[in-house]
Amino acid sequence: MPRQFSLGAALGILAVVLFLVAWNRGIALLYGMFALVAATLAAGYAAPWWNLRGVSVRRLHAAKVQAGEALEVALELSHTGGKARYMLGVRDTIPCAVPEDQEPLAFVERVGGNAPTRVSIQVRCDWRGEHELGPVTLETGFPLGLRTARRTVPDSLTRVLVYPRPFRIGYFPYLTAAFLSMAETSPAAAAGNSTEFLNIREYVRGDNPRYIHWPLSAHRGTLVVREFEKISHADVCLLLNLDRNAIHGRQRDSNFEYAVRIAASVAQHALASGHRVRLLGYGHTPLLVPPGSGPEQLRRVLEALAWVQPGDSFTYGMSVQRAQHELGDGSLLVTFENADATWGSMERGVSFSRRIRPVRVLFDARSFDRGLPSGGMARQEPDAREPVYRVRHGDDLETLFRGPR
Amino acid sequence: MRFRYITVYVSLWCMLMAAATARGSVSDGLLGFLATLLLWGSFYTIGLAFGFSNAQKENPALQQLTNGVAVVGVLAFVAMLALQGLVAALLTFILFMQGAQNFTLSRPRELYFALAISFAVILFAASESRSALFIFCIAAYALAGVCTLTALHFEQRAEGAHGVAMSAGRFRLPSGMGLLTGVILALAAILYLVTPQPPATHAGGFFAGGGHYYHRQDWQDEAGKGFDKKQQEGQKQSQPQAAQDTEPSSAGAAVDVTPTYSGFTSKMPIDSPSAQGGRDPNAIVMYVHADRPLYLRGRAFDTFQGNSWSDSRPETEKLDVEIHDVRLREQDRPTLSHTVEMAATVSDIIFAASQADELDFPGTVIARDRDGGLFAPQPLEKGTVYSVAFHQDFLDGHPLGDPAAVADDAPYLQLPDDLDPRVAALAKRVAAGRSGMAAAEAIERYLRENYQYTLETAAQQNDIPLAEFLFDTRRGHCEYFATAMAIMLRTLGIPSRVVTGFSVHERNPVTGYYEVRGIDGHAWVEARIGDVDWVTFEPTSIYALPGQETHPLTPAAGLGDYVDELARTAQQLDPRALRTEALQVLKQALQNVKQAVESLPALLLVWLRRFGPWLVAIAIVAAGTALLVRRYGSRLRLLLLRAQAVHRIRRARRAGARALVLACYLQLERLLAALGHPRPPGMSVEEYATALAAGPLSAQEEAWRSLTETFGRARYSDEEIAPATAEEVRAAYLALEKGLLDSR
Repeated sequence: MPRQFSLGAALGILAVVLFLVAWNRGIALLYGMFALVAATLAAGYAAPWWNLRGVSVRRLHAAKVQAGEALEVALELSHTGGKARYMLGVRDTIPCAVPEDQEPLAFVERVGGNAPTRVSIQVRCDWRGEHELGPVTLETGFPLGLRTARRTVPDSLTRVLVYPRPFRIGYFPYLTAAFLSMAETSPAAAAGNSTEFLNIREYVRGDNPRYIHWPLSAHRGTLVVREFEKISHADVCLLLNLDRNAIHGRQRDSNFEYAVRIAASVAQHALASGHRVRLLGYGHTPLLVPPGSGPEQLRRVLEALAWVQPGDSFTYGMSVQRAQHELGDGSLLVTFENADATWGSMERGVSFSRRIRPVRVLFDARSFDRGLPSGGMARQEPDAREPVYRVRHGDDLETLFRGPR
Repeated sequence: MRFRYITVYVSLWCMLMAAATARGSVSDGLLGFLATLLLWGSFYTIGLAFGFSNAQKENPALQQLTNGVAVVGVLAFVAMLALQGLVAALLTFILFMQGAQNFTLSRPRELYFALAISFAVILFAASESRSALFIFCIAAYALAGVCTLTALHFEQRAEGAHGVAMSAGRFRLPSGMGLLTGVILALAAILYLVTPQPPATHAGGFFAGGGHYYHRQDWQDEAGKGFDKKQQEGQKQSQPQAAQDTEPSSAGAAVDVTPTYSGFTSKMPIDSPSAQGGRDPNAIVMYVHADRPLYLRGRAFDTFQGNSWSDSRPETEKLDVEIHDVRLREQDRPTLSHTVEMAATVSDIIFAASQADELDFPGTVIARDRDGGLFAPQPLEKGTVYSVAFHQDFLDGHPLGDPAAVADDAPYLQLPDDLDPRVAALAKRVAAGRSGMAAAEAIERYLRENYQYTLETAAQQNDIPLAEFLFDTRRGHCEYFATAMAIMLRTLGIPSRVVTGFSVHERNPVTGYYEVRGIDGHAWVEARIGDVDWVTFEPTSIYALPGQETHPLTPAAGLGDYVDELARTAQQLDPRALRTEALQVLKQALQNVKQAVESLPALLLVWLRRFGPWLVAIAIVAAGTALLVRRYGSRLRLLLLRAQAVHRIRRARRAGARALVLACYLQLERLLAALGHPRPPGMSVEEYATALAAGPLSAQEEAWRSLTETFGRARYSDEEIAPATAEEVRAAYLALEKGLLDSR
C-alpha cells in the first residue's frame, strides 16, 4: 500500500519540535518526550537491519507454464540466527508476469529459527519465452515501519519457460472437412511423381507416354499405363517471419508476439481438427518443427514458439519461396507479413505457387510502431484473392479469428 | 484499506488508556484520577469494540453514533470552558473527538489521528506533571505505542502482499515487544540524561499564573493609598486568625493555614522554629521552576526579644494586579524568572526571589510590607501558580536582598535589653577592627566555620538563649546562626535583619522542577553595607548562598546532586530510617560511578603514557594488516582454505575411503562458499549439485556430479566405499578445486 506520508519523517519533525518546545519552556518532561520520540526513531531505524540478518530464501516453482495461467511460486524462508525474525517481505521479480504482478510481494509474519517458513504467491504470466526469475529481495520494516531495510538474496535466479497462450479460433480458411480429406495421404494418378507402383489402367488422353506399360499393352491389345503412388502431404504450415528488422512495436506488444500467438492458436485449431501442422521460420537460428499431429505435436509447437526469438534472417519473400518448395501440393501456408497504410504487403518477393493455399496475416506496422489501440476491428477481406487477416495493435484476436457470423 | 485484525484495536485501546491515565495523574486527587480512568476507559472500550465490528462490516448507523458523540463533545467543551478554562476544555474536546471516532475507526489515517490525539494528551500531562512517577505513564504509553505501530505496520504490509504466511493462522504481536520497548525506554533514558537542557528561552510567552483566583474587596479599596498601619496590624499580628477572617478564595474551598514553619508567622521563636502542624516535614510544599538554585524570600524581622523575632512595622501597602501582572519595581531589567506552583497550603506569603521586579499572580490585589515581603489576600492554596521576574546583583559573591529603601536604620539596630555582653565582645573580636562588608564577611565566615548545624537542638535547647548557642553548645539550627549574625552585626553598628523563606536547591532531574519541602524553610541575614541596601549573608554552615551558576546542563550531571540532597534531608530528619539508608547506598553508588567516570581520563592518560608507544606500533601493524586483508584478503583466505584442505584430506586419507570422500566433498563445499556459492540452509545436496551444475561448475559437471553422488552414498548409506573410488573422488576434488581457482 503506498504510504500517504512518511511516519519516520513525521516523528523526526516531532522530535525537533518537542526539543524546541522543551527548550523554550524549560520543562524537563518535555525533554523526556523528545528523548522518547528520538529513541523510538533510532530503534525503528535500526531494528529492520537487525531483523534481516541471516535470513535466506529459496524459490520453488514449475519449470514450464502456459501464458495466461497462474504460476505458483513457493518461497521458503529460513534463518541461521537464534531469535525469530518477524514481518518479512519477500519481493520477487517475475518479468513474464502481467505488469501488476511483476514484482509480487509475499509477507511472512514469523520465521522461526528451527524450521523454514513457506509462503506461496500466484502470478499470472502473459509473456511467452524463457524468463529469468529474480533476484529475490528481502525487505522488512519491523517493528514500526519507519524504515524499510532491503537485501538482495544472492543466487536467487531461476528460469521458467512460458508457452504462448493460444486463443480459440472459430473458423479458419481451408481447415474444413473437405480440406481434411484432401490432406490425407492419398493415391494420385499423377504418374511420374513417385516410384511406388500402385496400379495399371487404360490409357487416357493426356497421359504421359513414358508410363505406358508396353508389354502389357501388347498382351491386351490396348494401351495400358502404370500408376504410381504419389504421397501428397497437404500440411498446415505456419511460417514465422524471424527477421528482427520486420518487428514493429515493443516487447510483448510487438507484431512478432502477435504472430507467435496467432501461430499457436492456428496450430491448436488445426491439430484439433485432425490436420498435420508444421512450423517453419528461417534465419540464423531456424525454427523447424516437422509436420505431425496430435497433442504431442501441439506441445512441440508450443515449446518451439516459447523459445523462438527473432534474429538475422532471410527476407520474408525468400522464406516464403523456400517454404513452398518443402510443402506438398494443396498445403496450407499461413504467412505473417507487415502491411503498409493501404494494407499492401511490405514484404518484398512474397508470391505463392498455385499448388499452395496461402492464408495471409497482415500486421498494420504503423499501429504497432505507435503502440496505439486499434481504430477499429480488422476483418477478413471477402473479395481478396487469398484469405487475408488484417491485424492492428490492440485488436482482440479471438474476435478477429472468430470467423464469419 | 480496512483493518482486519483485532490486535490493532487492542493495542490502540492500551495506548489511549495510557494517555487517559497520564491525564488522570495530573488531575486533582485519587478520586479525580479514578473518575478519569473509569470514564475514558469504558468510553474507549465500547467505541473500539464498535470500531472493530465496523471494520469487519461497515455499518452506516455507527456513523450517526459518531456524529452524536461528537456533538456531546462540543457540549462538553463549552461546559469545561466555563468551569475549568480553555486548556482543560480543549483536552476534553479532543478526547471526546477520539472517542467519537473510535466507533467507526477502521483505516490507517484514523489510527494516525488517534496517535496524534493520544500524544497531545501525553504531552499536556508531561508538561503539567511534577512527579517523577510520571515516567511510568510514559513507559506504558511507549509500550502501547510500539505495539500499535507494529500492528499497523503488519496490517499495511499484509494488505498489499500477494501471499501472506502466518504462523498461527492469525496475527499475533511478536513476543519481543516488551524487550523492544525496554530497549527504546533505556535508549530514551540515556538520551534524556545526556541531552543538554539549556536555560529556557521563553520565546513567545513568559509568565504563567493560575490555578486559583484571589480577591479581597477591602484591599482593593486601599490599593494605591500607601501603607496603612492600622489595618495591617490586625492582618499580620495573628496570621492563622487573619486567614480565618479572610474571604474565601474563588474556589470556595476551606483552607488549612497551618504554616510549616514559624518563620512565616509574625513572631518567630528561634528555639522552636518548626511548626509542622502534624505535617510530614519531608512533604513537598511547592514546585519551583527556575534555571538556578534560589532563596525565595518570605518575611523579614527587625526586632529581637531575646528568644524570638518580630516585625516592628507590620504595615503594608496594597498593589493592584492588572491582568495578572503587578510591577514591583520601576527598574526595567528583569532578566530571570521563576515559577512557583503550590503543592500544599503554607501561608499567605507570596514567596519570591529577592530582587523581584514583576509578579504574575492570579488575583486582583496583593500586599507588600516595608521589608519587601509580598502577601496574598488569602493563604495560597494547593495548585496556585504564579511567576516572578527578577534580577540578581552581587556584592563580593553575596546576592543583594530586597532593594526597598529604608529611611530609618533604628529598627535594624535594635538589641535586646538582656543581651549577653560576650556577644558584642565576640563580634568585635571576630571583626578584628574591620568594618562594613569585611566585618560582615568575617562574622559570617566565623559562624560557618566554628559552629555545627543540627536539627536536634530544636528539642534539646528549648530555653537556651543566644549566648548559650554562641559560647556553650556551639550547635544549632539556622535560626540560631541567623540570629547570632544579625545581633553581632548590630553590636558593630551594621543594620541587619533576619529573613525567612525557602532554600530552593533540590532539583529533580527527571521532572526538572525544584522540589521544595517543609524542611527547606530557612532563615538567613540581610545587612545594609554602606550605601548598598541589604546584602544577603548565609551564616549557617550547611547552606550555600545561591550564586550565578545555573543548574547542570544535563540531567545526568544533576542526578548525583539530587540524590545527595535527598540523602542529606533524610539524614537530618531520621538518620535511622530505612529510606535514609537506602538513599545513602544510592548516593554512595552514584559517587562511585561518578568517581570512576571522572578518573577514567586520568587513568587513560597514565595508561597511554605507559603503553602509548606499544599502542601506536600495534595500531600501525593493525592498519597495515587491515589494508593487506582488504587488498589480498580473499586470496589469503583461499590460501588458508587450501592449506586446511590439504591437511584435512591427508588426515582423512589415513582414516579410510569413506572419510576421504566426506572430507573431499565438505572441503569443496567450503571452497564454494568462500567463492560466493554457499549451500543455503535447507537445500539438499542434490539440489545444490543441480544448481551449481548449471552455474560455476557447468564446465566440470561430470566430475561434480560424480563427487556428489559418491558423497551421498558415503554419507547416507552403509555401502562400502572402495579405496579406488575414494581416490577417484579425490582426483575429482583436485580437478574441481583447480578449475574453480583458475576461473577466478
